[in-house]
Amino acid sequence: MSTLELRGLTKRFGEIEALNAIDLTVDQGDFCVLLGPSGCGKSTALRCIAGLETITDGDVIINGDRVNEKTPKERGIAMVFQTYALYPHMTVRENLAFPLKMSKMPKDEMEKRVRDAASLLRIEPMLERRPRELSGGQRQRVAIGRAIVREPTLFLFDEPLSNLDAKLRNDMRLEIAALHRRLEATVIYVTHDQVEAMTLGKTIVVMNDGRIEQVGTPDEVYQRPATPFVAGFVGMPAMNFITGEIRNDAFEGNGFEIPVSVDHEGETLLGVRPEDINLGGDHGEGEVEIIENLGADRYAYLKETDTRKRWAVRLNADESVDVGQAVNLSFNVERLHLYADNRRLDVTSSS
Amino acid sequence: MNSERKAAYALVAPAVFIVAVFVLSPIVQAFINSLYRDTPFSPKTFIGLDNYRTLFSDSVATGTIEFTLIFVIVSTALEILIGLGLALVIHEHFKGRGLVRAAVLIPWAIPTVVAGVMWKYMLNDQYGFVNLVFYGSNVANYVAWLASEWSARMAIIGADVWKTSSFAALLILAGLQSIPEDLYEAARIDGANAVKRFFRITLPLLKPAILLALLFRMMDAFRVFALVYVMTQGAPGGSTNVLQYYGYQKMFPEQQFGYGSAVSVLVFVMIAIVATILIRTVRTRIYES
Amino acid sequence: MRRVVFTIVIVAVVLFSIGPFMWILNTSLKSPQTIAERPPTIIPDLQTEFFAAAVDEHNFMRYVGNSAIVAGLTTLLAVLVGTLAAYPLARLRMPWRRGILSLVLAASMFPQIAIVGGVYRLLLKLGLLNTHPGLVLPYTALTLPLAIWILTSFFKEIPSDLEDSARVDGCGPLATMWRIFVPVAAPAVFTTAILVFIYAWNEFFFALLIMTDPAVQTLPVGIAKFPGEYMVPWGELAAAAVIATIPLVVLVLVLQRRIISGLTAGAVKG
Ligand SMILES: Nc1ncnc2c1ncn2[C@@H]1O[C@H](COP(=O)(O)OP(=O)(O)OP(=O)(O)O)[C@@H](O)[C@H]1O
Ligand SMILES: [Mg+2]
Repeated sequence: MSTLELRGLTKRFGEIEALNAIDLTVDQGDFCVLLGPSGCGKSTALRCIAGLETITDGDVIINGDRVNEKTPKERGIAMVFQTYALYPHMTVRENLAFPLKMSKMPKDEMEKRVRDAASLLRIEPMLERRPRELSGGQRQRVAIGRAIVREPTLFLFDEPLSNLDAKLRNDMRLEIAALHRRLEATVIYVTHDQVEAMTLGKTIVVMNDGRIEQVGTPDEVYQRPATPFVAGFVGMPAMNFITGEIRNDAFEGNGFEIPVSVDHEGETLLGVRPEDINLGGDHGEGEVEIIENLGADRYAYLKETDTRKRWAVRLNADESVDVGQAVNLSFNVERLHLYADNRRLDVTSSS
Repeated sequence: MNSERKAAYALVAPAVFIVAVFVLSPIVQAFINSLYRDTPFSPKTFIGLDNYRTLFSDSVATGTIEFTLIFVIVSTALEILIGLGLALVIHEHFKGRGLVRAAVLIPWAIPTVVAGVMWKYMLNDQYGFVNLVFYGSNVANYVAWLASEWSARMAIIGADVWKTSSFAALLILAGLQSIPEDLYEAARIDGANAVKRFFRITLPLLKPAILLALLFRMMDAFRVFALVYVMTQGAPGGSTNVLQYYGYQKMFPEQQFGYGSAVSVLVFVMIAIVATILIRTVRTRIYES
Repeated sequence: MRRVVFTIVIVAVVLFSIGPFMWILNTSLKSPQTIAERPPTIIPDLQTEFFAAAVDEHNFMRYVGNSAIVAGLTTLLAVLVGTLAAYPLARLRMPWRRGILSLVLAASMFPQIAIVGGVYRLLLKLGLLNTHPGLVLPYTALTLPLAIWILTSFFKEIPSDLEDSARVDGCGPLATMWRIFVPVAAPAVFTTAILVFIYAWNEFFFALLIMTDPAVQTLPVGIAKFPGEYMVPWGELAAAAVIATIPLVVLVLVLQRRIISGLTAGAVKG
């Protein structure tokens, strides 16, 4: 059974169309990550689900109920905000108890839930402190705790880790993953960080400009990006693109041909990931501008001399190049991505 | 959404109601009444702009207008200058600054009536501190400051300046606090001395705050009343009469409701003109920076 | 050298600010004999006769009581109504928001003389002349602009996530205002209360015209109309002035910081 369903969800702020007919189904227990660039409408989508924005058109359905007109409280959701939004005038305990107090829960039940959440998140020693006396990570835990105590149908997270430093962010990411497994909760999680999306998400929803570009597992999104946007957005460094044409079962690029078998003729966009490019060959050439050593991997950034096109290439362990060196490139033809009319072409590349 | 909007209106309603009933509607009535002859001795009759004609031809009225303008210009000018000086002092870091700031606030906090009484006594012709300072034990020379035209005018202005400079100082202090410290650092590195730093950095950046202080002080100066009531009642010979006091005399002791309303409309219009001009200037200043 | 000059400047500033008050305080502590001396003596003989006279003969505590009632009620009413209005003006989406704010600000600029006629006739009609509510209502109207501006500017600074969070936790607009905004902005609410209180404690013009019966008059009127047309009883008057001022001096000494922040917030944001 689906916990959340969006049908043609549309949101306009005056002239700005923040969401354009979003359709999405999220199953019970899913960890669904909304991923996309800044301003693409992720937060707006989350806020529409939460009931913090009125929707312009379409339906939000939670557990089979259409909740368009319902208040956030009636929707059975809990939300964790980027800024944590802890109430500064309340202690941690009062913060945790606040949503329960608002729903007039009996006192002993309330205390039990606060205790359980506090022990789950290891914030018991801080219960009497105020938010300003907590570290960033502790505040984050309290914010999550305040969501947990309500035992909601649906957890909503809006970039909950973006205010933490890199190390803490890693730790919290693992904790959130563990928490999700323990609570068997359904989560919608907004981020623009693809590492977070890939590591946390069971489902990734890639958004752009108020639309959904692709819904899939992390693997699907990475291995078979459905649109050029997804192909370019997911992956660091970004995928390389070449425009060319498909004629007679071959992709014609700038001075090379790769045989492909697709159901398409004419203008085509070819994408190839940095790790699918090798040194040597005739698919491209360029002069090494920068070499980036990330420890586990090394990347070379090239610039073609005549077209000024740039390439990102992952170097294999045995490959070594110098800045200023001219090199030739070849693609791993098994792993090419072809797009026409903003659509992925199903390709069984033949050699 | 609709319910949110309803809640918003419901919450704003009491405030709007109170302000409308006790401020806005009386203003409208004042405009209307100023077109009538309205006294207890004759029936209320519409006389068009006659009240205003009287207001601009009667010599007592024009004298009052004249002193009101003198008062507004001189007192605000002095208040801004002294306020700037006070602000510069209480902006510095020094031990006991909190207490000095509190001391500076005291004239602002004291009831205007009390300030008037204080200054009246300070200027008293027999026991006044001012006479003591000027003439010491030479009692025969003691002056009745409030009895002659110009010294009485200066006294009223002086009392107002004493009472309200601290408010100007606070606004200017807020301006000073918003000037980033590194601007001064940079200027010091460029070799600008204290005087240059004041005229090149402090003063230009303070302009919005000073204009704001000017706006508030000017509008308030047009409304001077308590000091005149307590210190001189307009004497000697009406030389310290101001519009708000004149309007009060006409409207209440003399019961000339229509004419008094015309006086009040004049005060209103003067304030409106000054406010419009100054608010424009403040706006453009803020947009420029 | 610089330090000496600066110290002199500070002493001058302090003398300028509190000198006149010190003189009246000095006078109030003299005895009837020393006050009549010419030239005036600088050192008072620390007598409380004038205070006793002000309280006993002139029944001055009655004015204190009236002022406390009027200023207290005005503060309650203005802060309450101002808070109610400031919250939607700062946070809720509503048409006419800017218009209402500007109108309220404009209302604070109107001269009292242009308002008092209408207010007087209205209170006459309602039978509220010479009553405490008769003064509290116009005072509330006159202090609401200040209250609304200060509170709106503080409410605007409260992060919107806090508000959203409250809604998710089950608060409607009223609960959000009452349980989140008011406590979080408590310092601002308190500052507003002080400023309104000082205004109402000091106001003279309306008090003079609306309260003609000595039984209900407030301190400023009591002082301005202190009995004695020809011979001013300076000693008693000085004592009365000191009584009227002491609460304010205490407020300023204790709450200097808040008052400054409140006044500048109210003004700068305008
Ligand atoms: N209250 C609002 N009024 C007007 N426009 C808005 C409002 N909220 C969002 N928008 C617009 O809607 C679009 C989507 O905004 P949204 O906040 O959903 O983006 P986002 O994907 O969460 O971006 P980010 O990663 O920066 O948080 C943006 O163009 C934004 O300017
Ligand atoms: Mg966002």
